[in-house]
Amino acid sequence: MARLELEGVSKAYGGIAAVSDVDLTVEDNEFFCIFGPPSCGKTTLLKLWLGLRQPDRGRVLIDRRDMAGILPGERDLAMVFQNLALFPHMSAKENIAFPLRERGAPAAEIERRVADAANRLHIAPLLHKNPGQLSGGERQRVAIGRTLVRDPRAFLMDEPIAALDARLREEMRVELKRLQRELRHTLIYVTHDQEEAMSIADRMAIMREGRIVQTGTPDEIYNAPVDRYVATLVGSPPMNVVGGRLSNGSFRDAEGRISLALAADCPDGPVDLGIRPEDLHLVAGEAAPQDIRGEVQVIEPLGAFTIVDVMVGATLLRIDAPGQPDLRLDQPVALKLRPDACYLFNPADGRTIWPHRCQTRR
Amino acid sequence: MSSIDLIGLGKSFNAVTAVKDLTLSVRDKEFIALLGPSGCGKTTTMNMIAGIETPTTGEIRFNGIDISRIAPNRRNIGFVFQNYAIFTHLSVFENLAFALRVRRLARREIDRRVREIAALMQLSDRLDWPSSRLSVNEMQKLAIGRSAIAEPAIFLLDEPLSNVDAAFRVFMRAELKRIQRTLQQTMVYVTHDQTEAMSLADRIAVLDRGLLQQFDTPAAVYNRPRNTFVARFMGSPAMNLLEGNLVGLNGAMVFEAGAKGRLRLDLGEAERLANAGAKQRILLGIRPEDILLARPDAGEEGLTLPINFIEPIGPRTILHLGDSAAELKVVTGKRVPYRIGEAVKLVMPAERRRYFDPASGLSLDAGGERSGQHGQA
Amino acid sequence: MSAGSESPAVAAATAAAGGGRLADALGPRLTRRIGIATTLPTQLLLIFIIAFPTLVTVYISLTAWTPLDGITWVQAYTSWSWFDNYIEIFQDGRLGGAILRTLFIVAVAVTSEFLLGFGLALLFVDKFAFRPIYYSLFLLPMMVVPAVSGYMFLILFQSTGPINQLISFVTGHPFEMVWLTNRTTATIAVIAADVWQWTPMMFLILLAGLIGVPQDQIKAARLLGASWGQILTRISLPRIRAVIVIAIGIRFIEALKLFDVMFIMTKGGPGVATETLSLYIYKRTFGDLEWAYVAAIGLTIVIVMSLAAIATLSAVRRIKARRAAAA
Repeated sequence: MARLELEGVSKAYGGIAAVSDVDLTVEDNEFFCIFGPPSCGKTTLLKLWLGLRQPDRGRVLIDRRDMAGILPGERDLAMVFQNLALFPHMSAKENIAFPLRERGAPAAEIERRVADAANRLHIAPLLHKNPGQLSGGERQRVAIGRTLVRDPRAFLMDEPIAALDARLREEMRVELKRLQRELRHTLIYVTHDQEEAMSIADRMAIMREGRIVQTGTPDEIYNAPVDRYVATLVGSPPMNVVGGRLSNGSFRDAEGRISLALAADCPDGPVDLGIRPEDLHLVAGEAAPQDIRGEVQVIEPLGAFTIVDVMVGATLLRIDAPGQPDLRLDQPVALKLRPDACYLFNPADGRTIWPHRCQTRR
Repeated sequence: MSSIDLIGLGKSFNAVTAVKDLTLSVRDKEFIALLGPSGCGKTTTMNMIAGIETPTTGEIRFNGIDISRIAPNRRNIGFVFQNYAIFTHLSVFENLAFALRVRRLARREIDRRVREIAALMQLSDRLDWPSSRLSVNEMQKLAIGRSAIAEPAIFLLDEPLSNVDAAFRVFMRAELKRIQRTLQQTMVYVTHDQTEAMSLADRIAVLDRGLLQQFDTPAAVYNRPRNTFVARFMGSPAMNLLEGNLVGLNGAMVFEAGAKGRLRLDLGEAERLANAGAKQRILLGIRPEDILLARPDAGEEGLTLPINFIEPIGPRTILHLGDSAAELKVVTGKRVPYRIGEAVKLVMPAERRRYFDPASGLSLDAGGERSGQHGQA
Repeated sequence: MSAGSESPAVAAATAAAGGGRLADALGPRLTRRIGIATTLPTQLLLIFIIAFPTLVTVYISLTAWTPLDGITWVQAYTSWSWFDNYIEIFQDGRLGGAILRTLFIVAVAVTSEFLLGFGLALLFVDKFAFRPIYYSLFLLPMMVVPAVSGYMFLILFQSTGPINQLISFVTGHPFEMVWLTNRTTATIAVIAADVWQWTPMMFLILLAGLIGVPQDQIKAARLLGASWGQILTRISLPRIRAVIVIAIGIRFIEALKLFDVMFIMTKGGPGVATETLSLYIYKRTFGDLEWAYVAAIGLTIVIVMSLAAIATLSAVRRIKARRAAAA
């Protein structure tokens, strides 16, 4: 429904830079996630779009119009906060109807729109209840319903499901994505849960200390991270990073326990090797000479998969093994991996130097 | 020695029964999880163990001794609240020292032990800070350290990781295990997150609406759930449950799932079900990661459904198939050669299938019941 | 728990910069102009009501004018005497006595009120049966007009009054002390009247403070092994430090103005045994009609009380600053 942009935006609070030099474009109808650790500036970006804060430098644009001087109430954006801010003394129905009553819409239309929103969100049988009588997930949906009825240009959500039970979070994120697809609204969604961001975003932006580090589809972020920070931030358990040297396209770690022929066309020198836990496979049966050997340190069975910490000399590698492999503590194991699943990072600045597909500009 | 025995424990608030007839035993130095959705009674149970709530019925014993008359401040247990309840008007040092100060220990002893715990919790360089200035993650560590310093034999944690960010949660899981092993304590951990429970606990007690559903090792609870509640609560995503009929066809037993298709049961399965007294209507359970994908025209037997949603979550992908009324989920690898709308055949290996009685919800697979009680709410 | 993803430091800096959302949207200059315009009428009114009488008082205090002179106050400059009145303040033995007596009575009264009020507040923190009824009962004394309570205690403390009768009943011997003609007992009686009337205020303020102590922290302290006494001294009291300072500060400054009760019960007697500052001023103003001298006294009192108020506020501010610097 709307295209939201930030052009060269910076904002500082009392000398502390909250966001610096941010360029961001969220296309029409996109489900866009902003992801990063706490206090990286994600909420500030939302506030800049909403008009609750003015940028010190740069421009805030909605549908290519500069929003400077335009009050928050006039921007036609809807915001869902983490604490929902539902009116406790009103029923769910009255909560949802509130924005329409404020605008003086006719009663018949209010009825129609509230019923429509309630049906879409599957909360029609709960309309007469007060927020205090609803579960977390139901309250969540009432809060969304309240923003839906205004038919805003875009939705902004700040960690809306972070406070819910784990199981409910899994279901709600699918619901939200389905809803967004159905409504065809632009949705900007802030989260600190990387699995959530990966699952529902059309595109996402990774932030660090007020700056955007990388933007792209979840697939691009996951499989072509632009530096070590992004690579270790997305994916759980985090990517394993091992320090070592590259010579003639082959990697060797400091102790010589990990040697890989990578055919990397990079200059010789010190590098950090990155390999994702799911790309390390336990060798069943005979180990080949090039496989990595180590001992099992920790076994974390999580049902569908098992996280195994393997000690390779002084290096700890975490692997994500499917199912529930039969392992004992201190058992010697061999690991194999595909060379094309590895990443090489520059130890000085962390930038990815190989594979080259990771080196596109953010 | 610090075992915990809950015997017929129950708690009611006026008309509402929060916990009903709970009996389980925690062994010395065991790490158990009380797992269940909101309102299942896990926090109430823990409050009763701590002494903050008094049981309506039943007994609680530490090392075989009934502790119901002992005041909470004399039970020598560590307790970490969900909101940490840090003493915000005190410094980090004073927070950690609190338990020792109220026991009137000597100043030098207090100093030594505070520094020890601070090192263990990685808060050494924050000791002089006002505790309100800590980040949420650091407050977490402080809450744990504050309770740990008194070296309680029993440690109770009430959803301690629910307020921290996802990345820190993963880190703290490992830390908690390390701390528990270092301090050699019996730990009772309340959570609604089954991943956390699987990762941390030696045994998991699954609760639903005040009743114990199953109390067993993570592997047992995951692989041999006693009933549909446990089956669906464990695992992310939840186990798929298909409604269908058992019919005889050409001398073999077949599971018929309406229009979706049918599956032939092998001899072992058929025998097990017959022994368990299975009726015609039955629930077939299979975990999303156990389903194999094949093209619709492939030779294997399976159910063919269209894909309606794809969730890529990094190392794995979750596929949603079917319609919203009866959706099935499949977990597969990173790269998925299918698109939304495509029909895919779901192959369900016989050894991964579980069966449940639709009326009672109980599992029809025999074997391995070392768990607690019966009880579907 | 976390309100979005803004760090505490950033949020604090925003608040400190005085920026609200509307202010941010309107821009600094427009915000300032609107601010000045909307507060101007009130500021003018305040100037008139407060500043003007104060200036008149200062003016008169620098003269030796009394209404007995036969001229209006505007012409008081004719008996200009500079700081004579102020010098006389320091030489006035009766004034000194009144001040000391006032301080003594107030100190004893406020301390008693604090201890009683705190004790009551502790009792009321946890729910018990019929708490709301007891609550209303305990607040009643505060609702009584001070003059009426003065009369009440005057009657109570008569030599044939209820208090003596009660003591006679309890001890078994007839007890007929004449409370209000003896220096010590008159002081006690007056203090009793004040304590009865104003303990509820202390009780209210302190109860509000105690209720504000987070329940979670009390539970946590309990589970860490603290007894109820230790919880009181280590958790509750430190947290309500600011509230205690405010309660004592308010009550102290109010008590210095003690008048109605004194006037009705003892009129400052016997002799000047219970003559407080306000009674003394009353007598000089309406008895001796020395308005210039009284003006000087009044101003001096205002200055001293302002200093006391500033001291209270800065103590509170120091407590808050320590906590804010932490945040």
